[in-house]
Parts: sequence; C-alpha cells; structure tokens
Amino acid sequence: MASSIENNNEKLTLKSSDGEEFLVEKHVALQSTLLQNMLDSDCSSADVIPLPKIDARTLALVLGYCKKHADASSSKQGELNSFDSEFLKDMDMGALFNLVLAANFMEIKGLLDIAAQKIADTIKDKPHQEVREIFHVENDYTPEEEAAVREENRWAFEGFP
Amino acid sequence: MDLDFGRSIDRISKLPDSVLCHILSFLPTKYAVGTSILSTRWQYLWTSVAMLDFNDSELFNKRDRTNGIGEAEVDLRFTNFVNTVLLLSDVSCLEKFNLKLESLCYFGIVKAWISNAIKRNVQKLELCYSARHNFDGQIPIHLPHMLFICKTMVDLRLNGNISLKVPASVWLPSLKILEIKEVIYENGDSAHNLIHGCPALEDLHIFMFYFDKQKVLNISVPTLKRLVLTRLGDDGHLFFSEHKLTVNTPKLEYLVIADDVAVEFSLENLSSLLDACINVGPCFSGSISSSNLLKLLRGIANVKFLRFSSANSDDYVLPIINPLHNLTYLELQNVSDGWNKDLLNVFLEYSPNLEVLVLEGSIARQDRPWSPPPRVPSCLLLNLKEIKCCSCTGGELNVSVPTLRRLTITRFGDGIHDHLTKLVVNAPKLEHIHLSDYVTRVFLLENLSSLLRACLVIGGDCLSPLIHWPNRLTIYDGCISMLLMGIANVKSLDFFSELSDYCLPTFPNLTHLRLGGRNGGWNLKLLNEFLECSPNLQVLTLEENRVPGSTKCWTPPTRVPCCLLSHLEEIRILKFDGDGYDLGVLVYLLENAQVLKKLTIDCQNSTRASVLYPSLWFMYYVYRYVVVRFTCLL
Repeated sequence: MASSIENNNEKLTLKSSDGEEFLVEKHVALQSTLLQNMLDSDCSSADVIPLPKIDARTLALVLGYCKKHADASSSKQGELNSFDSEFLKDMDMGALFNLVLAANFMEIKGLLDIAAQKIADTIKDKPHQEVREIFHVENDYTPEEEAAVREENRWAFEGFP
Repeated sequence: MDLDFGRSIDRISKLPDSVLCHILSFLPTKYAVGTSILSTRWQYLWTSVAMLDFNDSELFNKRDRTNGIGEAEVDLRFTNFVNTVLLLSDVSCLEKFNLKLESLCYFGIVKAWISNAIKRNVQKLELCYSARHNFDGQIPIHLPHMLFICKTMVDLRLNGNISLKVPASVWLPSLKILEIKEVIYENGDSAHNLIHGCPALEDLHIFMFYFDKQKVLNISVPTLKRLVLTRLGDDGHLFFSEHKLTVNTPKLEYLVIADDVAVEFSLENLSSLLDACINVGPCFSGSISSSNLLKLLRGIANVKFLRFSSANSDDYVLPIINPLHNLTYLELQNVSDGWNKDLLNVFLEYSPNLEVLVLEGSIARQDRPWSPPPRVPSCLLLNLKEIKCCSCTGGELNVSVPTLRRLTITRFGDGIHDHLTKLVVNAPKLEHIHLSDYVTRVFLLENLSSLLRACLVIGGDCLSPLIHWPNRLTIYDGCISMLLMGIANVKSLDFFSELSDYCLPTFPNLTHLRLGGRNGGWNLKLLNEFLECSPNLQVLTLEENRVPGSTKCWTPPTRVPCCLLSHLEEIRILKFDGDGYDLGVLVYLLENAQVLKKLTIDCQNSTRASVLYPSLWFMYYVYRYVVVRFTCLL
C-alpha cells in the first residue's frame, strides 16, 4: 500500500451499475476503505472494479466528495467543512438515500456521517405523522399496538409537536 | 432503488439496519426512541443505536407549561426513561454516552448510569452538569471508580458540578482527548493524577479557577499535541504564591495558555510547537517577573505563530533570549492597559524571520514614551511583509519598512496627545494600505511607488468633532491633502471622509474609485474634484450622500472631465435612498459618460424607494443603452 500512495499518478477504473466507467486517481479512491482493502489485498488495479450497487449519477457525486477530501488533506479544515455543508444542500431525498447507501457500501466514513446527519435533521423536531409522510412510511400498527408503543416509552413522546 | 418510484415508495425503511441506526445515532436518544412509533419496522431499531444522548433540559422547559407535574414526578420520569433505555439497549460496544443535566435533583442513580456505559465499553463519555458553584448545597456528581480504569475510553469530557476524586490506580490506556472544565478537585493532585494516567493523551483542555484545590499543574505528557489551559483569577485576591504551571510536552503543536494566577511558569521541551496563544501574568496584581518571562520565551523558542500578551510592567529587564528563528506571525494582544512596548522590542530584536506583525489595543503607559531599539532589527529590513496596528494613540508613528507589502492602521484619539499625532510611512514595496484615522495631524507618506490599493477612512466625527481647534478646518484639510498626495500612485481607492474641502493631487493611475461618507456623507463638491483629477477612472462607486444641513445643490463642473469622455465604464450607486441624493448628479453622469456600459443602483434598506421608482424607471427608458440593475427589497 505504501507504494500505491507514493505513486499518485496511478489510476484505476470503477464501473457503475449502469455500466459507466470512471477513471480515478488512486489517492482519491483510497478515501474509500472498501477500495483501500481491495488494493491492499492486491486486487490488480489494471482490472475494472465493478460497483454493482451504485449508479453513475451517485458514483460521480461520491467521487467528487472523495477528490475534494483527498486533495485538501493538507489544507484548512474550515474549507472542508464549508464544502461538506454545501455538498448536500438542495439534494433531494432520493439522491440522498443513494448517496448514503453508496457511502455505506464503499465505507467512506465522512460522507456516511454527513449524509446520515442530513437525514436525521429531517426527522428531528417533526411530528411523527409528518415524518411518515416525508418518507412515505406506512403505519402498520393497529391503534392498540400504537398506543402500547407510546405507553412503553412515555417520556420519549412527551412534548412532541 | 428504482428512481421512477422514488416519490411514493418508502425508501428509508428499506435501508439496512446498520445505516438506519447510524442515522438515529445523530438524534438525541429521546427522538431516536420516538421513531419507534413510525411503524413496526422501526419499533426496536433504536435498541441497536451505539450512541446515547440524554438531556434533561427539554423536559424541564416543559415544566412551566405542564404545571400539574411536580419536580419529583418529572425527575422520576426522566430517570425511568434513562433506566428503560439502558435496560433495553442491545449495544455491547457503546460509541458515545452523552449526559447533560441541568436540573435533575436525584443524583444517586447517575453514578450507576455511568457505570453501565463503561461496562458497555464506551469510547466517548461526555458528562455535563451546569449548576456548578451555586453553593446552595447542590451535591456534586460522583464518578464511579471503574471510570478511571476503562480500557476503551478514547474521549472523556467532564464539565460542571462533578467531583473529581482520582484513585492512584488510574489507567486510561486509550484516552486521546480529555476535557475537564469547572469540575471540583477533591485533592491538590486530582488533575495531575488523572493526566498522568493517560499514556496516549493527545488533546487536553482544562478550565479551572484560582480557588480550586489543584494549585500546581504539572503537565508532562510525551504524546500531547494540543493543550488549552485556562485559569481564572479574581481581582479580590491579590497574590497567589502557590500557583505554578509546568508544561513538558515534546510533541505539542498547539498551545493556548490563559493563566491569570500562576507566578511560576516552566515550559520545557516544546520542540514541535507551531502555534501558541499565551496570556499570562497576574493581571490584577502587579507584574510577571523578568526571569519568568525569560523562561516563557525560551520555552516557546520554536513557535511559528504566536499571539502573546502579558500584564504590563515597568520593571522588565529586557531578557536576552535565543532567537525565535521560526516565528513568522506575531500578535501582541491587549491586556487591561495595553500591550507592552518593551516586549515589542524584545520580539523584534529576536525574531529575524518575522513576516506579519499585529499590534492589538493601545500602547501601554502613555506617560513613558516608547524608545526604539538601538539598532534596527533585521526583520524590519529583510522580511516584514505586513503590519496591523489598531488603536494606537498619541505621538508619532513611523513605519519605514523596505519590505512591507500590507499596512493596516487604526488610530483613535485619546484627547491628551492628539496634537502630537503624526504618521510617517516610507515603504517602496507597499501594495495595500488601509487607514482608519481619526486624529493624525501630519501625514508624511513617501516612496509608495508600488501602491495598488488604498482604503482611507479619515476624519473626526462631524457631529461632535474630536478636534476643537479654532483653525481646525484649514489645518485639518491640509493634512488630508498631504495624505492624498502621498498615495497619488494608487490604482484603486476607497475614500470615506467627512465633509471638507481638500486640494487634490492628480491620480494618474486611478481606475477604481469609491466615495463614501462617515457619519454624514461625502461632499458632492469632492466628486467633481475627483472626476477632474482622475483622468483614467473606469469604475466609480458612490455610497449614500446624506449630509445633515449640507448644501444639496450641486453644480456640475464647468467642463466635462476627461474620464467621463473616454474611460468611465461603470457606475455603482450603493444604499441609494434619494433623500439627500441629488438626482441631478445621476442625470449628469448618465448624460456625459460617453463610454458607460453599466449602471447599478442598489436601493436596499431604502424606505423611499417606492417614491423614487418612477424617476428611476424614467431614467431607464431614457438611457436605455445602459444596463441598469435594480436591487431592491420592494
């Protein structure tokens, strides 16, 4: 692995679920623990690495994030923070779910965190019925069951809007 | 995964458990448990969330509204909730346990909660009880013994009314971050024992008071990278003979010390130090001794960025120190009566590679003049690129630095030495000058051949002038003419001044000009003179012009200035309000600016914009070749 970091010009090819190929610099790919482990275990970098669970649109976003973080490692943390907060701004929920799944699969901790945080912020401070509507969660409790769940954790439901 | 159905299908519930739990871990536990009501899929998800975050304040805010419930009942509910969560949680490796208590009265159980978290191999523990030092019989939280021998703990933060009684057997082999703020030290060596039981510590924050039992702090941690230490004194206590501070940390990169009370400092082995902010000396009780200062400066000899302040003293024997070869940024900060002049000399003398010098606050002790060092320090001749000097008062200020690129000076009057104020600048490489000056009587600006940009905020408050001389206007305006003559090479000028009559030099290079008022407005007459004296002006920006009681009538120049005929391409009018503004100025500029391409009028915050609209639109139709952009709230 040491040698792969030293040679920044080395590139590898990632293939999205819809067949698009992305040529990526190695130090950018190393932001992903999954890819890092693959490279460590000596999967030949000449081969195309298929990512069957990630579509091209999502993969492009993920690689944009990785590139920024790989290149900026020596620069200011503040700049990265503002990049992160801009990165997910105005992103629709569908894209956000794709992104969180991709980050989880590729094991990119920072990206997983900011995406999860963004989803959590949507849940927080909202009445449960509204959360159900936003995410299209179907309430499959019977009224009796729902009342029982509410009773079990009474404090958690107090003061909810 | 199918995007076409993304609008109506429940995608969140289809996420894997691990991802959903990760999402829930960003919510306070109250909300995470609350999601159990969404659907059966969610009922027990929260029991696998590896971060627990309890905060009693939400509940207590509600107390006012739900008057029927007594405090004991609320306590009981909160306690039951935490107990239930801990009973039902399946997590064996807790990433984070966060407990913020503001008003819980029943503390017996807290110790057991912490023990529970430790048995789950907690990595981050944050405990905060904000009712510290109420001295109203509030019983502090006691920590379980097992906290101090937790093998998995990486990050420990204790804040508030927490009793710190550290056993001799303390051993936290994984701990990297330790924060102890406003806690109660049971013994004189509590903090010391704790710190030295952490062999991997990298980041240490301590906030304590002069009355804490821990008076001698000895921080000798070979792994430490960041140290932030604050010890607050009290002006009622004049002398703290027992307080000492020793830092011995070979890997330390970042150091912040704000210690009001220590009388003895010892900084050793700081060979990795990059960035330090040091504020020392018993602020309220005389001076830090020369030998201590010497020790301090020797200790931080490798530092690159330094912000420094210490209580002022006349008793300095200027210490001879080893040169601070790495120091490129120095900021002397204000303490009560100003930064220390003698210290400045010491730093200049021993910082050969200094590039940026910031002097914040006033010079201390006006009655004793600053005397320059016997020979010019080498940094002033070779390396200094930027000076920022704020609120210097009185006397002469001479900035003659051959390498200087940027200069920022702010001067306020002190009412005593104002008549002596003088500013001398001689800097052939200077590119940017930013001057906010309310007192200077004599400007001598020479050799500013490289100047690109100047921002000048000049003059006293025109409503209550700082200058009360009978012959004020003549002398004062003469000064400003001297100043403008000094910067006549400039390319871009922002000029903010009170109403006065200046005699302007020619600005052969000026392409960008911004005129603005201070406490009133700029003088319309001044506009004429600037247009006349700036033959190559391309962009003109005007701010509001509202001079109380000033002449509103504006007379156009007798002949059209040549910049209007051949160069002026853009006009920006900011904070346009139409009240004091003479529309005639605008019409004249539009009629005569032959190569104008763009006009921007910003009416934001104007209450009268609606009244002005018709006339603005009229102008838009008449001078339609100009791109007009209105930015207006209306």
